[in-house]
Amino acid sequence: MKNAEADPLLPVSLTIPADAKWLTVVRLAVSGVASRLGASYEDVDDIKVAVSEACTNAIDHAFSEGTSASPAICIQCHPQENAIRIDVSDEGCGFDPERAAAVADEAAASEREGGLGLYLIRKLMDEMDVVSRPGGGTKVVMVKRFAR
Amino acid sequence: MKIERRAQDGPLTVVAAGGEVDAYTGPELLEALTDSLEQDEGPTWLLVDLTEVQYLDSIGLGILVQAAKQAADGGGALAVACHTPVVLKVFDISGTRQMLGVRETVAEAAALLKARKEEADREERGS
Repeated sequence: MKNAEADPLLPVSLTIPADAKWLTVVRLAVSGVASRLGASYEDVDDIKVAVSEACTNAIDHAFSEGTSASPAICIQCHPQENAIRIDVSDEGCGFDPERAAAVADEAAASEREGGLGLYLIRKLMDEMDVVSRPGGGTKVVMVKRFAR
Repeated sequence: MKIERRAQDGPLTVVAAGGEVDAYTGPELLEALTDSLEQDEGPTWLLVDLTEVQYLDSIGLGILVQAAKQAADGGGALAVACHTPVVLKVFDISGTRQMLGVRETVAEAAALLKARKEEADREERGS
């Protein structure tokens, strides 16, 4: 039987209810996967914050408009060569990604809380992309290349 | 998360937190800081001891920024003691390290607050 280590293409997945009490579990799980793949302590810290921020955004915004979708968040860790790609997705109400990017810039400039999560993700990870549309859920895709 | 409101250290009010500050635990920290800021009649010189905090994200950051502004509006100030690398990085990236008066030890944060209080006292006497 193959395991995740034996197949670098096999993602490690975790699905949580969209409730902040599960954030600590996400951080523990993602830290463990990143460590297993060879990330340094500093990289693990960066990944932990970025993934937690993406989940917090989903908890705060994805299900706030009475969507009938299942209030769950899926975290998928995809091992890559000397890197990790992590997808955080929900089936919530979605949003306009361009507007979200503008909010993140504004938040960073004004030191206010709302939108700062996306700004932190962009700074801590090597790549970040947000795929979302109103009514169609959201997926935040992040890549961290490990420092050698 | 563990929150402790310590006895006053001279003119300073001390709130110590331990563990993780995120969307789940943040409201506890917010309540402790708000209570501390509201209990003083005059300016509050608030030392937030985060030396036992292992994790803090944008939620915690927003709470600290809000408390710092509230302290400043009342004529006081806030300073943070923290030496956890991941938390210091969040302060640095967000550009809030100076605004929050972040120092690596409780003694340094207390010294910063006492200096700011003395400065405020001098200004008041001079006006």
